[in-house]
Amino acid sequence: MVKINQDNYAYAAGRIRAREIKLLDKSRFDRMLEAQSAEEAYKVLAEAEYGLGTESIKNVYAFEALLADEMKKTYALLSEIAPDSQVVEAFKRRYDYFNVKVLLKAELSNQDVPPILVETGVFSASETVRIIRERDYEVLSPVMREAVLEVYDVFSRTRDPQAIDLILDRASYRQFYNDLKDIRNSFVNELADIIVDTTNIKMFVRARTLKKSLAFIQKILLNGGKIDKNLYFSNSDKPVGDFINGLNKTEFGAELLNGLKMKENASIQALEKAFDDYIMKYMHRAKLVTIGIEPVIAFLFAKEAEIKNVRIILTGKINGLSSQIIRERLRMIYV
Amino acid sequence: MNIFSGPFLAYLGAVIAFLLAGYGSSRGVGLAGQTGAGVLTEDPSKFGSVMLLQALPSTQAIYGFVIAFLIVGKIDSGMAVQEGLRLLSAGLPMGIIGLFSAIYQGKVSTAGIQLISKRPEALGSAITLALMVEMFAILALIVSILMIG
Repeated sequence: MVKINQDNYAYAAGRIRAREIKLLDKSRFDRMLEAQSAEEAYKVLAEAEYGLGTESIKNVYAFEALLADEMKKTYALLSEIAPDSQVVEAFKRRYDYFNVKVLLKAELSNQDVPPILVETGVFSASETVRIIRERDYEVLSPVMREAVLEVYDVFSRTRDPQAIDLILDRASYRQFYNDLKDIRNSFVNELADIIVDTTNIKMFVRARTLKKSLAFIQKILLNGGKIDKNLYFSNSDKPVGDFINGLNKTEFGAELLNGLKMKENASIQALEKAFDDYIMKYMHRAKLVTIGIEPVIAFLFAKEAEIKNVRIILTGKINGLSSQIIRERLRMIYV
Repeated sequence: MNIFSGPFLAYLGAVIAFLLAGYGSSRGVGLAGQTGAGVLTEDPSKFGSVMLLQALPSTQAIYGFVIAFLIVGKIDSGMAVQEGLRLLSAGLPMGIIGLFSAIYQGKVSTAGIQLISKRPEALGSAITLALMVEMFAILALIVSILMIG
């Protein structure tokens, strides 16, 4: 259990509030949307002091490097100001799972490690490479250690690369859920449930679209969350639309979907946007908290949504989509 | 010797008035100061406004000091237990209201500091909001003074 003394977050709250004015607001996003070219939209980011000031990523086609830098900067700020290191680590650990996944996949398929390792984890990319190469699992968390051993075990028997994704993604979510539930704060605890529920719904809809069996669905669903698991099981052989209707009948489900209707050819994108917006609405509660952990967590989610929006705009601009189509895909922002 | 003598009870009143109000002010000013430091890290130009808002919850300690001073001035070695009890109870309003009003005022000041970190022009509003809490400390001060007589 991580005990949270809200008063300890007074300094952090001050830092965060002063940083929030630098978040991209509606007018900045409008300028990006109305820009004639991707290059012009990219310039707005420079004005907003995006990234770490690296000269080489002035090219709009290298924007992913800039966004990775911005995320790194955000985590560096949060680690610096949060009095309880476990709080930020709970979020950073997701990136460790990503790195481990990339490394194990490369190792088990005898390929070179692709250059997509991220630096936002609890361990640096090079440290993760060392841990996996030297089998030094002692430093890993128990959940992660177990997952890595399971991957080797299952892969040696089945040779199924999909098992690597399945095992590590599950472990990542389980760890994230446990870590958040471990923090003694109702805002964070409820967030853990929301994340589990939204993830379960997305996984369920995806599994249904691929016509997966009930046994598979039972295996992938995460523990926790506010939605009764029977809702998934009882709809496991019916059309996705039935499941969405059933979900709409529960109070929490209706809030999550926010009026979203789904046909048989369920659009995961629409679902993802609805859930992202729901979580952002939840984060807006943090605006009413003067001193506490809430503004810190909300800032992280604000930044994640902002970066997602920047990616949607720049990808859209590079591919020549109209600003109307791009606008429909944009997530709700914090400021 | 009976420790519950008149002078002892009166001193206790002075102690309560200053101790609680002083503790409340330390908490309030401390909290606002931490948030202020956070804001100043990002934007050092706001020092003036931040300092002004941070200082607001310190008045309770000053009021507590005044009440303690007045009570101590009334004490003489031969005073009756009843007289001591009267001065003890006179210290309570300032002590207790001072404690809570300073902490809450500290929280309003903290929120005010966060407000001016986004809208520097709202300094007047931020101060006014924090001063609303001040009224209760002033009322407590008056009540305590009236009780000391």
